[in-house]
Amino acid sequence: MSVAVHALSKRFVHSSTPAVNEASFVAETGAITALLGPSGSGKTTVLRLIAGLEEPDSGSIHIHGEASEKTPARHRGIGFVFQSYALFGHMTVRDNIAFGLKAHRWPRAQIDARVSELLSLIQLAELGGRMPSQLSGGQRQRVAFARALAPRPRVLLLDEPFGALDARVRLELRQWLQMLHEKTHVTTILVTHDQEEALELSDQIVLMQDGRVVQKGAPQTLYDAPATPFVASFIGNASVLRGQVQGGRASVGSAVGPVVAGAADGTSVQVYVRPSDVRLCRPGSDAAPVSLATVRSLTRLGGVIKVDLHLPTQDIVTVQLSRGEAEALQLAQGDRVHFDLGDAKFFVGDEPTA
Amino acid sequence: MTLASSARTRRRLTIRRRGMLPGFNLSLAIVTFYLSALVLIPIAVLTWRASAMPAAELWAAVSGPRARAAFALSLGAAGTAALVNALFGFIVAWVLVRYEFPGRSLLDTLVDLPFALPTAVAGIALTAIWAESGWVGRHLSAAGIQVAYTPIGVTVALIFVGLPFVVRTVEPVLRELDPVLEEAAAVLGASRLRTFLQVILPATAPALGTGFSLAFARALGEYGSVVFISGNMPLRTEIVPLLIVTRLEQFDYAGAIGIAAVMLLVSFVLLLLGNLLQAQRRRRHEGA
Amino acid sequence: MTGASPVHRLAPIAREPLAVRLLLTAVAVAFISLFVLLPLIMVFTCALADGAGPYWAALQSPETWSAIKLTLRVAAVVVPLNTLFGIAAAWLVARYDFVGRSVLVTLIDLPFSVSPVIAGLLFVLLFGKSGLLGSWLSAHQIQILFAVPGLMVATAFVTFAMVARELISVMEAQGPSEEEAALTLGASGWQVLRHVTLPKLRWSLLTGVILCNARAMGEFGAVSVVSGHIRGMTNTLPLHVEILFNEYNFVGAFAVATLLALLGLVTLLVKRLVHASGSRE
Repeated sequence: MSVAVHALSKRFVHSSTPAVNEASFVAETGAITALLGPSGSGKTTVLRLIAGLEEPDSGSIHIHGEASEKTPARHRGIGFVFQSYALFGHMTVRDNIAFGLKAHRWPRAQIDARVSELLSLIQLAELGGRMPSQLSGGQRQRVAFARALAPRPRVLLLDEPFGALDARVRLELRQWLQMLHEKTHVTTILVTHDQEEALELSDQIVLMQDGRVVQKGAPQTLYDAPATPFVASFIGNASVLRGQVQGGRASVGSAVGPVVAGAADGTSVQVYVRPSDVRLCRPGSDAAPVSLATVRSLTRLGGVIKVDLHLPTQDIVTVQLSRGEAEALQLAQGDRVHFDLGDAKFFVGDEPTA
Repeated sequence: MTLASSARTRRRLTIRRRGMLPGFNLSLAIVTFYLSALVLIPIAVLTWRASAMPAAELWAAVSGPRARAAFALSLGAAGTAALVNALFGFIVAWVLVRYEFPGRSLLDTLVDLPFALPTAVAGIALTAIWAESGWVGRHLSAAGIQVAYTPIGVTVALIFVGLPFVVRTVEPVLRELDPVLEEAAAVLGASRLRTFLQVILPATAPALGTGFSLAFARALGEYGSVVFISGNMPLRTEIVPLLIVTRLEQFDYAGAIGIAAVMLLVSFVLLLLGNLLQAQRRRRHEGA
Repeated sequence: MTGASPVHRLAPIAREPLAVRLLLTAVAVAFISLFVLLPLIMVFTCALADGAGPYWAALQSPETWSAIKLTLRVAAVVVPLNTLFGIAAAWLVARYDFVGRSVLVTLIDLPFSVSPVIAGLLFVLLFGKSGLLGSWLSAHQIQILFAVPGLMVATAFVTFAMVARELISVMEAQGPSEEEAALTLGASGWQVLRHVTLPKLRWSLLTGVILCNARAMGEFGAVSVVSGHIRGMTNTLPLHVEILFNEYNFVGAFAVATLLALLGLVTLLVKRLVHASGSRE
């Protein structure tokens, strides 16, 4: 059962710019859709609009084909998990999870059964009688999930659910969320600013900037074919190089890139280079010095080698090599290497080259 | 901006609520009704009656010798009391926040007493203490100083009344002061006094200002704690609130309204000042 | 209004010398003792100046009893009404944003900055014989001034915002996330109020109510203006204290004052306990 958002707009009372500006996308049934973007991009506002916690100025929201913009939040059949957990501090874990069921007036026996079912799903079966203040951050967030899932919502909305947790717990819960999703298959919309999280978890990424949807699609598509420089910079830890159109092709110094149609020579070009985009090899004896890069530094980061290259254009590019590749090349600081920007993303103005 | 979007903006300027929790209309209705009935209408009546008075009458009510003496006393005593509270209240706040000593908890509780004790009780107790036969009064009168039934007595009562305002406003600011600032100053070679004057005092000055104006405003309007110890002698120890009551009892409505209007004005100005200081402090913190 | 909290620890290099610390502490203790502790002790000492017998006699006089009953009656009406208003105002101010919100907040703060005597004057102008509603009231034989309703109205005005201010600051600090969560789980507005908001607020509600109650029972200035001082009928406890004192019946005045002083002390105690429990959660 899907969630379809069309031309959604919202401006808050005291600000001059819209928080959300004509946002449209479809979250497919049973899939995880990530709303990704920097802070202030409007992604949390979109989520709250879908939940009914804010009222849109214009646009439509369809949950399972029913127009829902005017429906009050409590009737939309959604589950919401907050970044700050928002557990009811004066109720036990069991009572927290049971809250939605009591609000829907389920019979007592069914409530108890469902709560027990969820407690084992989140692997906290023995902690049902505890108060939230007695739980760790990761445990509290799992309770928040259970509470949201208890009334069997049609859509699960997650507002940066792991943002308040430290790095290791975050990774653990990411895997746990994947497991949970495989078991429940609830349509999920996840708001995050962490592009790794979006790449790992989601079936579709909706990337937002300044209230607008900049690009949407499968994670691999956004990675391989970013539509704008912003997308290229946001996804994948890229370095930026600047160059120009020369002889009909985009080039950075002597590194020559793809053919550019319709742009005059001298038009500025941005190149987004991810650490895995650059291929290095030892230069042949006849290679012109101007086409070579100098190794500025080599750093071992656990199992990979980070190589900073000084390009002839004075730019610095970061390349990531596996231990095997590095050993094959026998690199040392100060060495000259031949570099190939083959997989880098070239943009003339705001437009990607083919 | 297109015509359509400017129309949308115009619609936005009506009561636009943010927050989708139910109950907006009901709570707005309750609040508006109660506020109007209890606060707005009575104040509107006073404003209407005051503006309906001819300016000459209003001036006469406020400028006669008795009124002028009352204003001088109220303003002077309230100002003095607020200053005393600013100085000693700061010391009390400092001691409560930074030192540990037996009875600290008791001291902390006592600071709130002027807030919780009915004013009439405070009034008679203060009179009993500072009268010529009182516990403190008798020692002072041996030295030739009379407190009760003089402006000094009025000031003493107002010190009692305004005490918690300064302490409770300065305390949180002192508590939030990062100790590293003072430690850095000490390491840089500043004496404790210099650190206090150049690091601590500037940081707490806005709160001190707010506390001062709150204490001042409260002292201006105070009635119960003062009417017993002051003796209420016209032209000498008659405070403005008492003058209002006296005129009411004599059915001199114009006189009462005139003075009340001026007092309200002064209170508003002080309230505004207090709010401005607080807003400035908030802006400072956000900018930092 | 905070309670005693952990002491702020500075490195020894940055602390002032012991002598200075002792001096400041002594000054603070002396100041509070002279201006706060002494009056409190005075009330009880003067009340018992002639021994326990006259003390109890003063408390058991019929006029004292009617003053007690009247004070309780007024508080029993004023405190619940102001509490109801306080909850509605906190819900409105802390959970919504709308045009005029800051004006509303200033208006709620207003009675706090008005002298109680002026408060009384306002109602004399409204309900008095020559007041706005004066003729209408006498035509319908309703008496507000110099009668119990007048006391209630004046007291309500003065203690108007005490619950509201307490609740507003706490609700704003707590944020709406729990209420929003309850909403997404299917709760109606009343369910959210009953099961989420009010339980979260129970400590501040208690604090606001007891502060409102203390002020309502202890109010003097406003009530003095509207009551007419009719003994046995419109004298609350504070007014009764005044009358006894002006008659030079010092033991009587202080005896009745001890009741009010005890009220103040109980209020302070409850506030301390609430603060301690509140910070434990």
